Amino acid sequence: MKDAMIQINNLNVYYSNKIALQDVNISIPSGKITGIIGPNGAGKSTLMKSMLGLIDYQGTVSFGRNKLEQVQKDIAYVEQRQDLDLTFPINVFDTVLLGTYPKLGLVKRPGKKEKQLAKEALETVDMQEYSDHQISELSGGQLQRVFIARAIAQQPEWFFLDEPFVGIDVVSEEVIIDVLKKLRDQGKSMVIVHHDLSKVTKYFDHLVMLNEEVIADGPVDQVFTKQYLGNIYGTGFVEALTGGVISD
Amino acid sequence: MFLYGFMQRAFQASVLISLIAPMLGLFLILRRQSLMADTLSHVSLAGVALGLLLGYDPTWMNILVVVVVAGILEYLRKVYRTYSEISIAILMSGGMAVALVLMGLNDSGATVSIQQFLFGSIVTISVQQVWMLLVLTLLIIILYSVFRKAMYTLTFDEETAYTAGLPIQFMSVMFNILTGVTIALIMPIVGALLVSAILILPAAISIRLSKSFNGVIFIGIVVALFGMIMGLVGSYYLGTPPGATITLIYIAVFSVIAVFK
Repeated sequence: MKDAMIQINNLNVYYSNKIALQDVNISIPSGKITGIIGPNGAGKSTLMKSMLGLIDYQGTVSFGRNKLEQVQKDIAYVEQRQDLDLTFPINVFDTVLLGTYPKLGLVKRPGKKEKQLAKEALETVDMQEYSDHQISELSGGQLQRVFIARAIAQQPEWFFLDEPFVGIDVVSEEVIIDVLKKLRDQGKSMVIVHHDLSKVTKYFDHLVMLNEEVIADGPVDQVFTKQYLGNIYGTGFVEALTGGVISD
Repeated sequence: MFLYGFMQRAFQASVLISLIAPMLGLFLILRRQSLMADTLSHVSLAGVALGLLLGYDPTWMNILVVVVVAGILEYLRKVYRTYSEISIAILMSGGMAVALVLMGLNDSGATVSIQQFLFGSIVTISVQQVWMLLVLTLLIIILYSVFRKAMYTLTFDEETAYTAGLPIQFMSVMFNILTGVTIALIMPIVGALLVSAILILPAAISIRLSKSFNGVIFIGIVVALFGMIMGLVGSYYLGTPPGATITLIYIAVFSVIAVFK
């Protein structure tokens, strides 16, 4: 699993007969932070969800030599926060503990080891003092750190994060990207759906640029260029969207 | 009043219902399926009507019909993912319509019987029903303790549960079926029109009082025991229908808590 890259071939996704993603052929390297970027409606989340088997697609997705089912427990997924029920009666610690469940299987209960993992994960994102808080009491940024901690507690090889930096405070964003980079340096792999172009060069090693089809993919310094961005957003907007941080 | 066999059975059934209602009710609420209980109770009327028409034991026929529909409900929930209440509307009216048509076809005077099922009757609880309820209660308690963790994950975050490899489809269907069987069994006691209140209200009350999952279930059981037993006693002395009496007590408790909390 460790050295396995994700290989996507001939992937097409339709939403009630309208094409959402067309002929995607890419590979996503392991041990890197890969950003999936593009405008609204470009199919970024759709690509992530099809990789995770959450929506129907045509084509193939493989993780090294494996299919998704064989590596599922090694993948942690943090969905967009708005998709979650935050009034659910659950506190921060138990939310993080949920991360240990996939490897426990259907019926086994979390024991000492799992609780320790959850505790350490909470410390990693600096949220340990909120352990007993109800998740509804947290700010957007704190909540996102808790969900990152849940993913860490799963001890996965791959992290899939859908728009993790939307609507969160600066401190939380820094804590999260710091943690992700440390995990990457330990050999973990990340795939992140992201739309804020100003941070792309700071956050990502590898990019997939989408607009219903793949416009470009590769190392950030090779593909995050005016030409490709112009193809997606229109040349006039590139400067404003990237805050000037861009190569030609 | 405990000298009467039927009252003893009614109290036994009440205690059993009080144990299972908060568990199912809390999951129903969190899964946004509060109205599913209502739907299945209407459908179970159709099951009873079919049983009466064909001359089979209405309880078993009812269980069969409700289980089938609980499966269909999961399918419709997937088809109309964004507006899942459509499945409720279709099946609720469908169940009622089938029940009424079947009753119309049946001219053996069984309408008296269907009245009991609509409004509930403690006089009709049989020893067999209490035993079935006991088996169901034990089954739900066992399933709850074994699968609580998985069910909890599924309810909180279905997509993550799926990506974590949980059999979410299977678990959803099993949950619906279990809810269906429960409704089929308690419907003759509390009445089809009020089954959902009996299942949902204890959890709806306790979710306001506790922030932890186990706390909600525990308080829910206490609330349910209070409501069910007070309701039965009230119904005995006032001669009012048990389901309605119990529901009114729950609503009174709910109102008191809503005012103070």
